[in-house]
Order: sequence, then C-alpha cells, then structure tokens
Amino acid sequence: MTLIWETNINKYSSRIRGRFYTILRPIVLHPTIQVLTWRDRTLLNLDIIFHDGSKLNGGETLAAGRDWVKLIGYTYEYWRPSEFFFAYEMEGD
Amino acid sequence: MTASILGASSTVAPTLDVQEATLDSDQEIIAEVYDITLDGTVVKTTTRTVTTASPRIPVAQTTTLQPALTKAEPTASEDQRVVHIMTREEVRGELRALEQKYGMTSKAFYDLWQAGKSPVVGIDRLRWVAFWEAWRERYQLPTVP
Repeated sequence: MTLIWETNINKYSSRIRGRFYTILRPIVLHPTIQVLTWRDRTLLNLDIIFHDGSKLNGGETLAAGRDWVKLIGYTYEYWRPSEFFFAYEMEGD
Repeated sequence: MTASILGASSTVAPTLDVQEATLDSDQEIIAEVYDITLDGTVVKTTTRTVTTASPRIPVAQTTTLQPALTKAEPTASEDQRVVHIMTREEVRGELRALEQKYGMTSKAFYDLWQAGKSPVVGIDRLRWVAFWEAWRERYQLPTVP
C-alpha cells in the first residue's frame, strides 16, 4: 500500500482529473474518468485518448479512511497506433 | 559592504521579504522575484545590483510571463470535467463485456483470482475484480433463500 498525500478520495480524484484536463490538455483528445465505490474501496478508472491516436487505459484501486487514502493497486496500459505497448502495475490485496 | 535586495513590483504585493547579504567589493547580485496576481498572471521581476568602486547601479526589469502557472483556458464543458460516478447499469455492462471476452462468469473468474490462478492479466484483471466486488456488495440484490 502507498499512502497518498490527499486526505480523501475527492481531492485525489480531482488531482488526477486536473492532470488530464489541464496539465496534459494540449495532447489529450478525449479523457474519460470514472469512479466506482464499494465498501471502503474506490476504483478510479481512466480511459484517455490522445491526439496522436495513442491511448492510456488505467485503473487505481484505493482504500480510504477518515482522513487518509491509500493506493492498494494500479495498472496502466499505454497503446500506440503502431501496436507499441507498455504496461506497469502493482497488485495489492 | 552590505547590500539590500528588495523583491517587489508596483502591481502586486511583494512575496520576498527584505534580505541582507554581505558582499565583497566588485560583486554583483541578482534577485529574481516571482509574484502571482489574483488573476493568475505571473510577474517576474529581476533586480540587479552592481557593487563596484563606483556607486551602486540598480537595474530593474519587469517581465510579464504567461507560463503554465496561469489559469488554463477551459476546453471541456463543466459536465465533462466532473469525474463520472459509474451507475449500476454501467457496471453490469462492463461485467457482461468481460464475461463475453474471456468466456467465463464473473464469479468463476473471481474465485480463480482469489486462489491466485487468475487467467486474466493487466487492466482487465484489476477492473474485473473491482466491478465484481462492487456488483456483489453494492448492486446485486440479496439472494432469497
């Protein structure tokens, strides 16, 4: 598990959202960011399409408490039109 | 010799307090001060103080920058900027798509995953686990005994 700086899920998801809607805005064509919450878990689901046709499919599983958020698992897959593929992941409990 | 460096601009409040530094003779000190106005504009103020045998020559230059720190122009509508909370139907649709893609039920996949024998890797594995747990614990109606 990795403790995240933000103290709640909303702040963390806002930072992730800002990353694609503001910081990376010039190269992002269509960002889709979804949230699914169950128990004390949250899935942050990302499907980002870039102007060059490449895409980033990602997911982060988060656990949240009263004033903390922990990243317990993530997977990111980056695809380019040339079929170049890059992925990294960390699977938690 | 003692030199004072002031960070200020005429339009915004100073962000750098008065500092003092002790200099030897014939040295030059340059202070770069960045101020952010209320509208997000970054103002760079460069103050150069030359200390030589001659009297100090202050050279001040004020440049207005438009870096990434300024507020970005919005391109997406406010609705698009909101993180979308998945609905029950969307979760069910995702589960159905994964079941069709891999030819097994969500429960069968989840049991294999819990046993450490997941036949699926990558983003699909992470999503399938999350969708199934959410469906089972949040959306699925309780089974009538």
